[in-house]
Amino acid sequence: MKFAVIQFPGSNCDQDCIAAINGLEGLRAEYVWHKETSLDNFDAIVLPGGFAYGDYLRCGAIARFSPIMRAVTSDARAGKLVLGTCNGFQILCEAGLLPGALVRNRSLRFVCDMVTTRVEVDDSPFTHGCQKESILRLPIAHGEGCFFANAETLRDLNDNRQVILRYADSRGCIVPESNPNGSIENIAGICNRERNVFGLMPHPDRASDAGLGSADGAKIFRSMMQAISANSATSERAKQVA
Amino acid sequence: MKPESRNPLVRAVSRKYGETMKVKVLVMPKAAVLDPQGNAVRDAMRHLGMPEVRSVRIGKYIEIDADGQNDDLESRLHGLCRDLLSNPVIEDYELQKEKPAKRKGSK
Repeated sequence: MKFAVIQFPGSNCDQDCIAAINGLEGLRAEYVWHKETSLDNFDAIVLPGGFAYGDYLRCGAIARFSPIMRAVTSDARAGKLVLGTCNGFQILCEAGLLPGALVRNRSLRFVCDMVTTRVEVDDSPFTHGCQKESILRLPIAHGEGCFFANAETLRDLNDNRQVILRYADSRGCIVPESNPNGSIENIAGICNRERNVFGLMPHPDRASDAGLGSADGAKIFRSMMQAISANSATSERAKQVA
Repeated sequence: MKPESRNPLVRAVSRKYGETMKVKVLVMPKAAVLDPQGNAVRDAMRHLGMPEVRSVRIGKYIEIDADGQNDDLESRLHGLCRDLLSNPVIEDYELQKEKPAKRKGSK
């Protein structure tokens, strides 16, 4: 199974993503330069963290017009799994593949820390390997990670169970003190309505090895792998029946 | 979109005859969006002896020079204001056209 890791000029977690994915049995990751135009040979797409185009204008504002984004958008609409971490989340929001936006941290400070997040939804392709309300310890490193959505969008996100991760304390309580950036309702990660595009500010790629302090991030990549193979098994069976 | 406006020759002619457009774009955070930068500056202003300051909002100011003056160019500029220069989820923009530089007939 092959994952594409998109490299924008200014991406800096592309290598972390490649290492995290290649470290899992059955998964292989390859770099795809942002000038490419096709992702046909890949089973899933990862938009890594970093500072694409120097974060000029707004984070992700210019990257979303990179040639590869046309393929990301069409593949996402066709149902392929797309994961955006940190800057990748910002790019997905700018591209309109995810609702809402990420703005300057409330503290105005760049935060670099290990946080605890609570799994709100355990039946998404990205988190079905996690128990509902379990805790994932993941690192964050961002200056613009404060999730914002207007009241209507926020209602939709909650009604459709699109909030996948929230910042929580170590006991799983959603409290203001556990919110590192001022995100509305402690939102750390959301998916689209179709549940195949997931963006989160924390870095699962930097938490895929116990030696790095946490291996919780690997649960997300592993969930994706299982979802893809389950999906191809059912479509294979459907073909046989037909 | 008129293809001829992208023609370098047409653009050169526009430039030669002074048909250029100067545009200022103001991008401001929407009222519902928290502006921590504005709040920090507001607090600093109050501390510096101006308790009258009620609020400060910080946005972006962008100056654009373009060759040509037609409506098509302006509507395409509006398109990019929405798609690139601002994010409609969190910001509003205002496009201000500067009066053409030619002196004659200016009010």
